[in-house]
Amino acid sequence: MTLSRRKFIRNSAAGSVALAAPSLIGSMAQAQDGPIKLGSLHDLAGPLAATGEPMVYAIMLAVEEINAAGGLLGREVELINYDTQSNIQLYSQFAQQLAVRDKVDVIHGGITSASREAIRPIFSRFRTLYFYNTLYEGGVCDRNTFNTGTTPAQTVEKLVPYAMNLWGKKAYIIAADYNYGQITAKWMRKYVEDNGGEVLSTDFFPLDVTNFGPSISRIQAAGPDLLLSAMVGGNHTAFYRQWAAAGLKDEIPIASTTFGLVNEPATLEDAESRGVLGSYGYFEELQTPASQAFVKAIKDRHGAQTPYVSELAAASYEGVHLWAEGVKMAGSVDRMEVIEALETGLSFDGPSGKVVVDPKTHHVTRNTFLAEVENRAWNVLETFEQQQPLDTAAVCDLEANPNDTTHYIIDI
Amino acid sequence: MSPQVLIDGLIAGATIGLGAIGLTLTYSILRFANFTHGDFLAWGAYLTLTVSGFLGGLLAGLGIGEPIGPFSFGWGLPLSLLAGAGLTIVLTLILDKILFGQLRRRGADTIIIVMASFGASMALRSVLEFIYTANPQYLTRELQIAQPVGFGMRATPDQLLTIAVTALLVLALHLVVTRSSTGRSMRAVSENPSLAGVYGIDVQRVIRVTWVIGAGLACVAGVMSGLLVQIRPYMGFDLLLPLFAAAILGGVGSIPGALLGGLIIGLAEAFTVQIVGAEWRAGVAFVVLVLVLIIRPTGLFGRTV
Repeated sequence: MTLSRRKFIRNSAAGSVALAAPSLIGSMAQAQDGPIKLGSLHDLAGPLAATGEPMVYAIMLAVEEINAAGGLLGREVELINYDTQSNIQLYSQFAQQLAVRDKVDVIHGGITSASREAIRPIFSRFRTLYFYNTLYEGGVCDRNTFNTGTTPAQTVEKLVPYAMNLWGKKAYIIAADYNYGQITAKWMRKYVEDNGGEVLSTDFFPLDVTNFGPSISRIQAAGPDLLLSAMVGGNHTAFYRQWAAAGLKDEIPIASTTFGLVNEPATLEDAESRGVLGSYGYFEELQTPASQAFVKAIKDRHGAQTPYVSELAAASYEGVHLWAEGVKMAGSVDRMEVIEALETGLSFDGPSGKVVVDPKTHHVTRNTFLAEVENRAWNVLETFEQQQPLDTAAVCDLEANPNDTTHYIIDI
Repeated sequence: MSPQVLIDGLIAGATIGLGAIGLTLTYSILRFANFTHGDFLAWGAYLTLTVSGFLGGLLAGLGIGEPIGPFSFGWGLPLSLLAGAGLTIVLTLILDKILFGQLRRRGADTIIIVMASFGASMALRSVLEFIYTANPQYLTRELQIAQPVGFGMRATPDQLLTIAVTALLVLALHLVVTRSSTGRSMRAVSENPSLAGVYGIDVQRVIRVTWVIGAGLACVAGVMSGLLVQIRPYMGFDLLLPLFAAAILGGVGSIPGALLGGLIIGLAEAFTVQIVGAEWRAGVAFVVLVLVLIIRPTGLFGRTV
């Protein structure tokens, strides 16, 4: 990472200095402070490496674009990325390092909800602005934290009735066994029941499970109309292959809040993945000019081996740009000034469309999409314009309670 | 409860059993708990995958790359497995030469050797991830659909083959250990290494044979797991607890015991998923391990240690 970071900073340095020259006199004092530092904490090794890689690529791209346009406040933005190696301990360690030693101005990072809850308190304590750009279970209510990914009210709420309408009312839920999976399973149950359906059973799987034989027999015995999946990571990808091998793929269809977020359609065969439904805040296959330009920019830099450019990449990219908008409006990198600027309801037009900060929850209002896997890629079926984070809004109001730092958990 | 649970348990148990045999042999002959054994499974799978990558193209060129009969793989896989097992054996012999052998010669405490195996395990795993990345890989892209095999059970041909291969390998190995002179030497060394040496048994050779058998079976177990599930750097590490539980349940040093222990662990895991829930599966091996240690520390077929 260091090498490519240096490389692009070197490349963009000349441009930023030239462009910044007219405003140099006004911001001389600031220019002498050196670069604005943007910290990044993502897994580039271990089971979550394939998830972290495109997020870092998206952040690199956003920083590169900001620097090419003259930096922020006449200063260059320097990216400091640490590889957390899918290890929660390293998250805590590097989070402290970013806040205390590197003294960064903002941090973008965290993938699993477990990692987020490990580092979020550290950034509160050291008063360092934090952006979490991953789709998650919702409910984080913290004035120091901005969440740009989708939450269940924006996606699961669309996915469940769509799937039930197609396939039937009896659902079986499988999910990863940590806070994301546990809470998302509750949301799934709520939406199934809200739509007059029934959940036969819910199974949770630790992230290291790869052999699903016994569980598949159990699901088959229960005989649901559809399977709702919130499985996470490369190990759990094995489920879909074993599901197809058990001959169940055409009997019991799957809708998922996580499938295809990394590279599942590309790593599995068409026969194993065709027909799986998913709903996210972005798909690489979106045909808008902004989306195509974004995907091309990432793929041009990282070549044929680039992982799928999912909502995680789009939200990371949009997160960095939203923060940059906040800095521009505030005219400063001061944490509170940037937070107040973002709380005016700043927006950015990203690859997924317009993304608007919601001042009450520090989440975003954004477009979401529903798609189906076909020929090892997503076929986008529906677009839902400007979806609000209603789940978190039901429990969180940072305008009324600015000192709240709770992670609210849906009570069903 | 569907009878399918039996098939599921046997398939998982076959892999665990084959892996546990190597573990139980190193334990009884080299006298330490070898934490690198899980990583031998992973290395075996990756080495086989690499060879089959080269071989696949070659055999396809000769026009014999097509899947054999009902199975999902062609002749490339059995051939690659032989080469992969050979390379895994070389790997373990090198590791013994540069690490465990050195410690043995210095008369290091068992705990030192165990810790060394722990370190080697981490290093082996990280090297795998460095070379092959953490993304799951597959030995074959063919998809097999499970067929009815009677009594309401379904299995894929690949799954049935792994059970058959396991049974044959264990039978062959059992005959070698109980009937051949090498087997007699192995038993003698496991009984008392210094006395065996005094009686003219080549202890170094027995140690090499132990590694050869352990690594060969680990490679087969890794490839079986890779064929039925997927290949990833952590695959062996995640199996470590069931492997130890199976070896101890079977009785340290007992080859049929290790297989039986593996099958019991596999079945216990499958039944737990059916009866209690998927999130408790991983705990079963641990519960069995603790129960055996409390109730019958020598295991099913173990002698007093």
